Amino acid sequence: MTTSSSGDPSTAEAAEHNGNIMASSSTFSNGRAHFDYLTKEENERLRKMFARAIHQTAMPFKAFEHHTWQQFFHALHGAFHIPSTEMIGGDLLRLEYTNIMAEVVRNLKQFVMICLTLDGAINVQGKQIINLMACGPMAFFLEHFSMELRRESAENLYEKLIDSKRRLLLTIRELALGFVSHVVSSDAGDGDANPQQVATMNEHFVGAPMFTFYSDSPSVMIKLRRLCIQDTEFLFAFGCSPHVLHNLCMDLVKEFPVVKLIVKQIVFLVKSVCKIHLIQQLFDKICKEKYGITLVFSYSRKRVGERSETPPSA
Amino acid sequence: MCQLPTEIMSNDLDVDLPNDLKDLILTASFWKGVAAVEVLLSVVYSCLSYLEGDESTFSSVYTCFLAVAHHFRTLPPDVRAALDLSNADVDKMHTLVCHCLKTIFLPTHALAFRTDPLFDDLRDNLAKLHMDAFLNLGDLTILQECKKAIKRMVAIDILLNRLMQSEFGLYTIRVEDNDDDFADIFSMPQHMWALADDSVYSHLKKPLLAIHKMPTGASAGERNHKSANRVHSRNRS
Repeated sequence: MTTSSSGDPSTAEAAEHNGNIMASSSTFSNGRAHFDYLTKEENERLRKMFARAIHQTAMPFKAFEHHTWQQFFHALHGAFHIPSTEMIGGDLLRLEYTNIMAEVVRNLKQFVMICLTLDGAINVQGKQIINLMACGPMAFFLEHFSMELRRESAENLYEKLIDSKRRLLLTIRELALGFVSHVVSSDAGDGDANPQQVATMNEHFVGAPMFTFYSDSPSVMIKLRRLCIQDTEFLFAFGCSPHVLHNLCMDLVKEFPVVKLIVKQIVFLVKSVCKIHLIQQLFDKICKEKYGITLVFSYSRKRVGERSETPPSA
Repeated sequence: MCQLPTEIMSNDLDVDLPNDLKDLILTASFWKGVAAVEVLLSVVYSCLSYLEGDESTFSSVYTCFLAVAHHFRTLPPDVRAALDLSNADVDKMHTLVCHCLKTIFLPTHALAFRTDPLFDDLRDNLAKLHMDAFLNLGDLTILQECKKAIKRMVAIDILLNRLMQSEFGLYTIRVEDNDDDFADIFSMPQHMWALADDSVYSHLKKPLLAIHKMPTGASAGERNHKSANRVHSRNRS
């Protein structure tokens, strides 16, 4: 991005050329700074739009901090200043999150059936994270939480799930007559005098949607599914079908010796090709020559997003 | 596919392959096996990629398992020979499919499958090809499972149960003509049920509308982890 002066005449010319542009733009923008005017509201609106674009496209917060970008924006409009990184990652991020969640709630209000899904993952740093989604059938992200593996029992997860569900119901449905939300009952202090009850179940809300639950199939989740359908909180609790089909593939490999042998050989072949760079290059070349395509030659044990353990055959 | 490795290896390669890799590549029976395994798993991974997608319908869960079971029963003879599969092995595969389904199965799956008009012909054809019992991947027959699902939905309301069961009965014996609410099988089942006749299916309509809107799995959560760049580890994915 930066131009440095060097002995090379072409580079020098380019630098001069760039310098001219910068000079003219800076003169232009300097002038603009005196004439351009934005009201506080307009400036605020532009900053929000700017932050929204950054968050929606998952750009680094300091992407525009470089002075060339600042010059560009200054030339575009003398009174507009890019919000600082702290602002983008702080207040404007919180605002964007609130807006998006409001949109999610607006959508969820229309759903006649809400299916909650829980799914856990561990990143390379060993930090575990569980996300909670609401589908109907379009999926919306609700929240994520982490739970120590030692504490990750079906009962604890169930507690979390029920709590999230209750909070969701409070935002998308009206309370039925005679019921109050948690906040009102605890803050009012006149709970004893008032016969109103804290809303906890589906029946305590007006026209609550049908709730179901989906999870993958480790034993803790199977137990959680059983807990879910014990009372009326969830009508049905299902296991994830793609996970089960993946397990079927694993069972086929395990149960049938010939299939097992062939898959083992395929895995050996894939690993051998991937291990030696020259052979991988050769494989790519042959694919290009024979079929005119580039194939990704990979082996993975991932459960979702993988078609099978069979690699594309050469 | 079996001739290609030999053809490639006969050319002058400027890379030295390790001996065991070279031997494996030149073994014709290995490539026959690879082709057979590809055929064996093709339907499974077609179903898998469909079910983990965004537009899969809840009724297709049961259908996919039926399709896989049908595929295992009708494997071409050369594939069966290459994989050394006897009739007993094919029966075992069928048992495996049923077992896998049972780990996630609820009567609701059968109800969604039975009330999606798209699969009416498939059901008839499969029953003709195999036996009627082939369709029952759960413990009970499909109709029994449907009744169980309806019972679960109405909880203790006996009258509502009776009304819904009779509406379900009406649906199963409906006459398929052009005026039928369910004639346009290319619509999503939830849309067809949303347009169903209120005077006939007044009690069944709402719950079925909700059931057909259910997703097929928890893959949305997995996708969310992926899009948030949470790297999968060997412990959990």
